[in-house]
Amino acid sequence: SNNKVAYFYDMDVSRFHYGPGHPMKPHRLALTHTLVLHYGLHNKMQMFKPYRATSHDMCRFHSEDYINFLQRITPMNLAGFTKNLKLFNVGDDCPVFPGLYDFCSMYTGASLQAATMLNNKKSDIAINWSGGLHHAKKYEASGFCYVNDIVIAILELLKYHPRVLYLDIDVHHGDGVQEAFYLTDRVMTVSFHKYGNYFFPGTGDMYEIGAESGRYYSLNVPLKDGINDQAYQQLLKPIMKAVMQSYQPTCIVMQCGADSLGCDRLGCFNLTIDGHGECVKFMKEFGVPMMVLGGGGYTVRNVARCWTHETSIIVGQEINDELPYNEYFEYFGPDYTLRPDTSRGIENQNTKQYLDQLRQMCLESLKMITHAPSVQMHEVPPDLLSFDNYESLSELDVRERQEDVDQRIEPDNEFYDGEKDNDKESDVSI
Amino acid sequence: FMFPSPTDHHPSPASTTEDQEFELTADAMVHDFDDEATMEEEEEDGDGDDEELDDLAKERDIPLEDLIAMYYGKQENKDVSETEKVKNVLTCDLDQSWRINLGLLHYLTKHEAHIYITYQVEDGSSSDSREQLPKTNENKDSEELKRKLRSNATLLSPTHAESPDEDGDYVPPAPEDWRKDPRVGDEFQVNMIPRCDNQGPDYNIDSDLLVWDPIKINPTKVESYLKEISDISTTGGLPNGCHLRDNEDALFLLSQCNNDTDEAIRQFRWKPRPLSSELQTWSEEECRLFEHGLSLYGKDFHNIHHNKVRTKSIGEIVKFYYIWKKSEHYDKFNAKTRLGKKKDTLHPGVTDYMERLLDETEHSIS
Repeated sequence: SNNKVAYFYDMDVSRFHYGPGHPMKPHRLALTHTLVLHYGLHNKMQMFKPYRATSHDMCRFHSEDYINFLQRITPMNLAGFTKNLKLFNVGDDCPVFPGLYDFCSMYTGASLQAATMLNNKKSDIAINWSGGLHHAKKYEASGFCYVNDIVIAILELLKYHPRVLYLDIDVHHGDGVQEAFYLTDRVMTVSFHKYGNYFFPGTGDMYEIGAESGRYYSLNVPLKDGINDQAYQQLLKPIMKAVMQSYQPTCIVMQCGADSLGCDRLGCFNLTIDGHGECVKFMKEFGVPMMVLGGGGYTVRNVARCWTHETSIIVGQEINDELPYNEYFEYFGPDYTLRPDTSRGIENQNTKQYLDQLRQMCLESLKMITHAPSVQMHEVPPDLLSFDNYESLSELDVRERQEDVDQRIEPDNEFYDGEKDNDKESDVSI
Repeated sequence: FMFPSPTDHHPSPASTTEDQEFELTADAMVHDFDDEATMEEEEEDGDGDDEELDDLAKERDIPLEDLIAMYYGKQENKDVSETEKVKNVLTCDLDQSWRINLGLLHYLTKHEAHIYITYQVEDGSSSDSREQLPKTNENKDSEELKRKLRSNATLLSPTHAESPDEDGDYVPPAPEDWRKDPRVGDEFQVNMIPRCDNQGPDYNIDSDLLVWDPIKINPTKVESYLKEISDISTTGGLPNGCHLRDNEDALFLLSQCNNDTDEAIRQFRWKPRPLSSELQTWSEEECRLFEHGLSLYGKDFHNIHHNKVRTKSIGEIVKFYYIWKKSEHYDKFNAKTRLGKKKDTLHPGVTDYMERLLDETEHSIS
């Protein structure tokens, strides 16, 4: 692999603490970074101590009131802000901890800089494991996220890129990013996530497809508990291949939340580190400039393993399953390996019929994109995309299954036929 | 036929008149109540639902095919295969508890199937703030659906939660309805989508730091450089172990010196810096204060900093904690504080206290 990879890490970002009992642990970033260094992966990429985002940068998406509040709030002056705490949803899930604003500034700065590096073509793939806080909204914090570094980075990318694809494989729906770009076709958001049974955040059913100019440019793949590698790939690969073909993004932003792994403290999927990494590998092989971000992930040792493994995939360096000795070695016992089986525990509640139906719906919905008049299909800088390249690369993985899919689809087509026209206008309103 | 839009499913609680009819006891809120419990609650209300509820209860035992025929019967002649499809959709999703995906539910409404299965809300006191338990209920027609969901919404509405409860002392938390619809408006979307005209970044691009660029230097040269740095810095200090450590600070120094290893080593000798600049040394006293703080405040590092270890920043304390946690100090600390703790972290999973006591005695002897 001869991709130019840029990697962003600020030593200080792992030294924040959300508070006693909170599942989000920035320390996972120190574990990840330590493994990356000890595996020698830095010898395959440029490492940057990232820029720190200013309030001005944050206000490119967020409201000034909200950012102003984040700048001023500390655990010491909470009492004076009770009204604002409620207004901005800061409290339980999103606690005020010492250095909160600096924390946001670090992970957001890294994503923003990653965007600039991609824009200037200084790198092909840019990694920021501290970013990917996909739940943050314009006016409020949500789900452990305060500032939406993804939205801010995509806004930067849009200065150079006519179409940016956002893919989210966190176990939670990428609601903040979807919401921010719900009305535009310049950004297509695709999210694979657990949906139902009160699972956070409660958005992301397959009928959320975008609105106005953005209609059909939000794609949601709601899943049930316990999905395993095989089932996940059988959805992700054909769907993402179709997305790449119909949307033809010039840049990809991928949120790699590691809470979709099995054995996650908050998640309920059953992916292995290999299965999770396979998604990154698959997307990388399209050969489109890509930003790779972190996100959720609450079983700290597995998060570090997962993102280290994915770093190795991105730089194209095979690494030993036996972990190198490092200062956090004890965290990885008793096996001290990179890819222990994380798939234990939960039964896969996604039936074959459900998955087939879901894939069919997504592929149907993607067909609408080709016919959408507002998408600027010809505005593709020629050096960015080479479609032959990714046709051949993904061929082996997908084509066979695609045939399977086509066969299975046939009866379903009948089922949809009479409805198709209906679907457009009198569909359940959103 | 107009299908109810999702927003219709969630009528504003303030506009309803039946809000007071359906009350839930604190007990029911705390415990994992199921369909039956809800039905009992409603029977107590005695507003003539009994028959319907009985029907619903019976329907639990009716075979799926018959059920579909019951509710889907009108179209039976028109399209038998469609009924078959609905059945497929249902069976694929319908396990023990009439659980059905809401997306498919929408789909069913589109087909005018009048089977409605919906989740009901229970209190969000579960320890995991991101996931709560499901509750299922069955509804016969959209009229009833609205009523049920309304009562459901009542539970959730803050106004109701604030009103005096039967028990008075338990005010259930008021989680929002878990299912949310996308929001559209100025408060939600980005203000402006940038034009694609290759304008530069808004921020000062020079403020980032290139720490390390492997392309510009030969790897074996780096290795010998790192070894030399490591040799210099270990004289006098603690040994770093036999393996060669990758030292980010040394790499950064090298890249600052334009990848000139001799220059970097000269600078390093002239002004030695701690190898692992991350972890400054902690005195015995600081360590003792930290442990005391931890026993007092738990993992509230803010308080530990302010009241115990003023000499270290919160960030340094957090970093120290994660190293300390896997050290012998932690084991000792744990052993000391164990008696006061209910949870034994040294022996996870041990519930037999007799065995544990014996274990401990054995340990203290050896």
